[in-house]
Amino acid sequence: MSATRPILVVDDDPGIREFVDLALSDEGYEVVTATDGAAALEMTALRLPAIILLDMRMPIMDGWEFARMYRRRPGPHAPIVVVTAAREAAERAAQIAADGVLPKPFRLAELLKVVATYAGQP
Amino acid sequence: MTATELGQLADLLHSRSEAIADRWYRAIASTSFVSLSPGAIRARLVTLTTRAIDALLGEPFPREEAWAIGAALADLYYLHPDALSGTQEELGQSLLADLLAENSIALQPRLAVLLGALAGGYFERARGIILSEQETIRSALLAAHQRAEDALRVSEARFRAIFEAAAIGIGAANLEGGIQTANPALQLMLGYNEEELRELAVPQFTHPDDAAGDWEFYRELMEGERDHFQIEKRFFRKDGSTVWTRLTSSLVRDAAGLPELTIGMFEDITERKRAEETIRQLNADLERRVADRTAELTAVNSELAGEIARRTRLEEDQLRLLAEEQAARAEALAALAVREEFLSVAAHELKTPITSVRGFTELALKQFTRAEGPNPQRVERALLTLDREAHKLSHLVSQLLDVSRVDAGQLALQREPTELTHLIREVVASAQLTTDRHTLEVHAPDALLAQVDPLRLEQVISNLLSNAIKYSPRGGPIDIELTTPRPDVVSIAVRDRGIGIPVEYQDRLFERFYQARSGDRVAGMGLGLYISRQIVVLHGGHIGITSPPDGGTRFVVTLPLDPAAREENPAT
Repeated sequence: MSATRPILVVDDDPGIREFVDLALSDEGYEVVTATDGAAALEMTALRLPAIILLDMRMPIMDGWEFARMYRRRPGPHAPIVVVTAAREAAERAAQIAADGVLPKPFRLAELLKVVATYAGQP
Repeated sequence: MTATELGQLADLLHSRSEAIADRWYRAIASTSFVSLSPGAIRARLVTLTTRAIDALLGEPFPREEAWAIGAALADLYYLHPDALSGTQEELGQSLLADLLAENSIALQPRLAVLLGALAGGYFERARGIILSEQETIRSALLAAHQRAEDALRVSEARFRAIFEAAAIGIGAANLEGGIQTANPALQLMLGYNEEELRELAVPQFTHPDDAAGDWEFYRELMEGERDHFQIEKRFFRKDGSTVWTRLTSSLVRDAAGLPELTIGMFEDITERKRAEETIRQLNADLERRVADRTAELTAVNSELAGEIARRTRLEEDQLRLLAEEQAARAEALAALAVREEFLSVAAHELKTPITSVRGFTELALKQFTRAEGPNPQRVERALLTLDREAHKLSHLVSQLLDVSRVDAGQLALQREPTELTHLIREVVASAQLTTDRHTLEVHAPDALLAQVDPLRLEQVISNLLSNAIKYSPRGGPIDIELTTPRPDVVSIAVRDRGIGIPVEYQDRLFERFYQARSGDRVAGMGLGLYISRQIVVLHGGHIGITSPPDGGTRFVVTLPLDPAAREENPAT
């Protein structure tokens, strides 16, 4: 297991998961993915991520519930960046007091920039 | 006559003085009334007899003394002048007889002189007394008369003063109505002086309307049936104006009891009448004004009622128009909201696959910028994903089109006889290819023919299977059951053993865009269930959801086998 911290991608859409995984892996980041909030909570219990890219609408446990439960844990906490297709992307981010927001659809460069901002260079 | 003789005679006479006094007394007592007691009279008579004897014998004859004795006799008793002459005679006879019988003739002249002097003194005195009494009586009569006159004058003056000063008009008239007297108040009231009034008779200045009003009273007054009456009547004043009076009339009868005068007391009630008239007019005016006002108010009221009715109608019309307008507006707004929502959902649903498409395109292109050349595996992976995402986009777009058709009421079915078992097995096989964690198992009769739109029904079943796979992420069995609970009804059930759907969300599950509602935090179904439900409903069927006690979710679609047959025989 790597000593560096991974990028956690939480999204129920396989296309998004795969794209983000591929794009960040190419840059040298370690990427882990989860299909919903519950799976993501399990992963964050094992390792502290460098950043959490969080979709809001997901089955089983959505982004709101995940953020609420994640924050309730003892720290440290990884920064959360909301990744959403909702028109009110910033509003969603504010609802869970997220550190950043990445509205869909986003370009590769935007993804890399947000990750570099919160997780630093790989 | 010698002194001796005279002395002897004097003694004799003195010895008989009491007898002489008695005779006088008897004479007096029979003819007069005296004020002294009998004893006192006798005592005085004895004294007077003694003095008369002395006077008889006096030398020269004491004429003054004799007159004084006569006057004293007159003082002693008083005789009525008619009786006086007789008494005088008797007195003389008695004295004379006694003296003559007892004495010598020598005394006779002296005695005559004495009697004459006594009588003279008596009558002179008596006349004086009578005159004095007559004077006294006359004075008393005069005084009494004077007092009576004075009293009458005072009384008259008092009555006159009352008459003159009375504030009420007082007048007397004879039986023909001719005025006899009128006090100043009455003169002032009628505007005539007393002389003018004396020329008038009451009917001449009586208001014609009131002339006959008191005839009956007058008759009763004359016949003694009443002693007065009171009436209000009008009189003309000298200046022609009218004075209202309250007349109290009474009758004065003469000594024989016959009617002589009528007395009238007139109280000026013009002001009162005027006030009454004013009040009457005010009342009438008030009544008229009240009536006018009432009529006015009634008119205004009915006008108001009409106006209220009119306005109520207008208001109702306006309310109806407003309601219609609001309904139309709400409808328009709802339609607008539906369109907005559709666009919002469409954009939202498309964003995720577009992100992937763009992302993989960038990644693939990036491979060609590498110095060492593109990695073929990476490029292939990107292209495969692009293909998958393009399919997904295509599917989404057709779903959105379906929603759009549903909204427009343009979703039409192409019914045809369809073998359901075969159709379901094909859809299930296709779904099984997308997952290796789930086991899809079909329980169905060998064949079941139904009149449905096969493509649309396939869409419904595919959607239910896709959801079942998606919401049971840990895998497991998924059962698909085709049954005919009634001969004319077919039932298709899809049951997973996944996370289940809370009861509180089940009702809303089939709502349009339920998943996509902004702010709604329940993640879940997308457009699929909404479209599925529309398709089932168009088939004349029903889609429902139950939560089996051992977990997971069970969707059940029931459809009529043949809606046409059902319509022909609704009883079955």
